[in-house]
Amino acid sequence: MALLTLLTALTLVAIAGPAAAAQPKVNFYDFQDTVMCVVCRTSLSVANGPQADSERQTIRNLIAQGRDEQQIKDALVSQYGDRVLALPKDKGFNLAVYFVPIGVVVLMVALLLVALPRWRRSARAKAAQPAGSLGPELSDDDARRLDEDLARYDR
Amino acid sequence: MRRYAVPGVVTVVCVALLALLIYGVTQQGEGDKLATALGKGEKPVAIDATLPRLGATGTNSLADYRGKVVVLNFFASWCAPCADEAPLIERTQRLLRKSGATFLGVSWNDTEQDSSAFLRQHGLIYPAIRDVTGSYAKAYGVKGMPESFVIDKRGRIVALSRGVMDERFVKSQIEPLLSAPQ
Repeated sequence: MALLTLLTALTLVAIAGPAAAAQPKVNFYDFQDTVMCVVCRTSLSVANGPQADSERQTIRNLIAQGRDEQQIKDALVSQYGDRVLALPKDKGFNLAVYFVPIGVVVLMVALLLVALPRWRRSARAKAAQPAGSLGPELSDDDARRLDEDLARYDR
Repeated sequence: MRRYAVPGVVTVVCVALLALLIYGVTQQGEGDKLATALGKGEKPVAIDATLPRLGATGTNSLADYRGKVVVLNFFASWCAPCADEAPLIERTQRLLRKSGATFLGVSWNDTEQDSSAFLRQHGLIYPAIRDVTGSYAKAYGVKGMPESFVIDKRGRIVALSRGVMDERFVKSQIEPLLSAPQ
């Protein structure tokens, strides 16, 4: 009886142990979007080649060990450096990645705020001109030169 | 004044882009510079860096091999041509050791575990370091793998091999250095 109890207990431990120890915490396919293939310099999710395959295998192994997303990223950085991250760490010069796009959008909005009223004023001025208008009146000097030219062609 | 603003900005942008293009065209990578210098018969001083050892604690650098011939070999476990080159490196390393010279492997774009396994699998016994950030490979202008740089006893680069080394390269570029005076 004691032997049977021991065998049952060992069987339960054998079944439950590995499952608890290596529960995946990260979706491999989602994780691929957050890291780069360090040789081809594209997202790992679209990268092909031996290095990309090797990197994927490393990630699969880390996921199988039950590591979370940050732990896997830290492990990859220790092997490949910061360039393995699709989004660089938010410190130092890397902050430009986050602030430059915002700055560009603000600049574009500011330009539109300045340019739009001008365009509207210009469009209104054009619309206010009488139909068939040929533009500003000729000066006396220009009118005289035009008459002279036309007279020359009439001869 | 205002009517010159837009053409002025456009001109400045065009000039800047043109300058960038000229800079890009004229600027050579370090690898090209090395190849050009070697082609002219120059012997550029080898770039040194202290990097973590592969499969061991501590660091290693070219300075540790001062006065010896060193062949810097950039490799990775996933690189098939590196595997093709491994038997020749293994034979040559035995020859180099007799003269106090050595290969110094540089594992690049690879995990420590995989690189160590690669060395074991191919029976490679040379010391190796890890270029985790890729800055050392960049300094040498390494673009593919394997690439090897032969450094003489005075710490100058005297030859380089882009791609798989062959027997002829070993005989013509490495072996003559072993008997050369410092």
